[in-house]
Amino acid sequence: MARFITLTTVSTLLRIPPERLMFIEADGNYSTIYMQDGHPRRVPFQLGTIAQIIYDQIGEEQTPFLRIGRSLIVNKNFILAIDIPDQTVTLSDCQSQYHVLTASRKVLTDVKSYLERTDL
Amino acid sequence: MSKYFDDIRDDEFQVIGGWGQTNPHNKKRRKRIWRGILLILLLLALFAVASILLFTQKKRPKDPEGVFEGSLSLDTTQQVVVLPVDNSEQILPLIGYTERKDTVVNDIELFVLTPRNAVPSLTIGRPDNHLHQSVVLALQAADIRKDTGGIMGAFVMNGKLCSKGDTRTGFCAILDGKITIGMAESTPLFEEAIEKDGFFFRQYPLVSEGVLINSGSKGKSIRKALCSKGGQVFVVISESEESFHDFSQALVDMGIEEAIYLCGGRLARGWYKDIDGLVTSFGDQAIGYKNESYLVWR
Repeated sequence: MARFITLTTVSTLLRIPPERLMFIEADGNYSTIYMQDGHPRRVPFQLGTIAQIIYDQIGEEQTPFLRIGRSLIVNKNFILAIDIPDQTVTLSDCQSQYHVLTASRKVLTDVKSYLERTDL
Repeated sequence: MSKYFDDIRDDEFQVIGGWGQTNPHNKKRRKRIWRGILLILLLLALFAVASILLFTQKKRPKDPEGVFEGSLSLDTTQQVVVLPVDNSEQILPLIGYTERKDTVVNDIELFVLTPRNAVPSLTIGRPDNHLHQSVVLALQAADIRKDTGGIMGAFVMNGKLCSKGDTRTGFCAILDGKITIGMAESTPLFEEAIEKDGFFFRQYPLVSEGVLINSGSKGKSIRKALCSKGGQVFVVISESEESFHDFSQALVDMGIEEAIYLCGGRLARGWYKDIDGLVTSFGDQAIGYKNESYLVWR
């Protein structure tokens, strides 16, 4: 895997170690990146664009990133729990970072099946 | 690929990269794509069938191409012949002449020729020499078919049927010296012209009941029209090359009720004589056509 996912604009540069990237949340024409350091970062890219960038830069290798619905990209290595009735997916690094996110029951069912299949 | 990452619903997920892994989303997506493709193919097939059915229906024959198309300018200054006025002859109280009025409608310069004290008729072949004093206005009337050289559309002269056809729905009927202009695929005036030794010809309709009729070919040319308004019959000619549509619109805006086209452009000859005996010719057709027809007022 490449060392960094790089997001650049005319005036800024963001270099993200993929293994530290927990999840990205859509925010209209922007996205908010949550990393293990606990500092969310807002970038002027739509979520689909970021998904494409991740694919272009590190997609030839296996990546841990899942696009869940239209609003989330999560690093499956940080998925701690999925609760379908509550429609939540919990991300945690088992240290300082803990995030509870919501998604539809259907997509969480699919993700749960996927993780059960691939983790074994 | 970017479209793939944009094309996701809220109840779907994608694995980004690592295509060796199984992506359960892909199967469903592929099914949807195939369903969409099949639907599009079905619609295309239906459209093709509908198109074939439409085109195999019997269609109205296409208008044959006429000879008198093309552009050119109407020069009323160069081809003028001055007739000597014979003052020794007794001047009849009602002499025939053509009155000319110039006007501008929708930025189009037009002149209006109104024959006075003259009787209309049709002739085949060039009428009396334009120096002859009896002719006050002469204009080419029906078009000539490019393929056969015959007269375009139905043509009746002195009750004799000279040509058949109704691909152009405008008509001019002359019965007992009275002109009727109109638009109809079939009109009893045609049979009446035969029965009563009248005259009849077909042309493009331009205005019918005060409404513009879209007809004629594309392009611009000097345009001529036989018009009626308030019972008065006259001819309108454009000074400049105009499209059928713009010319017809100008006629409508003049309040003309009925108008049919008369052969225009460079090749169509004609002339008029004003009250002073001054003859003005137009058209520079060098080649005479055997079946060229003229609307003549004497």
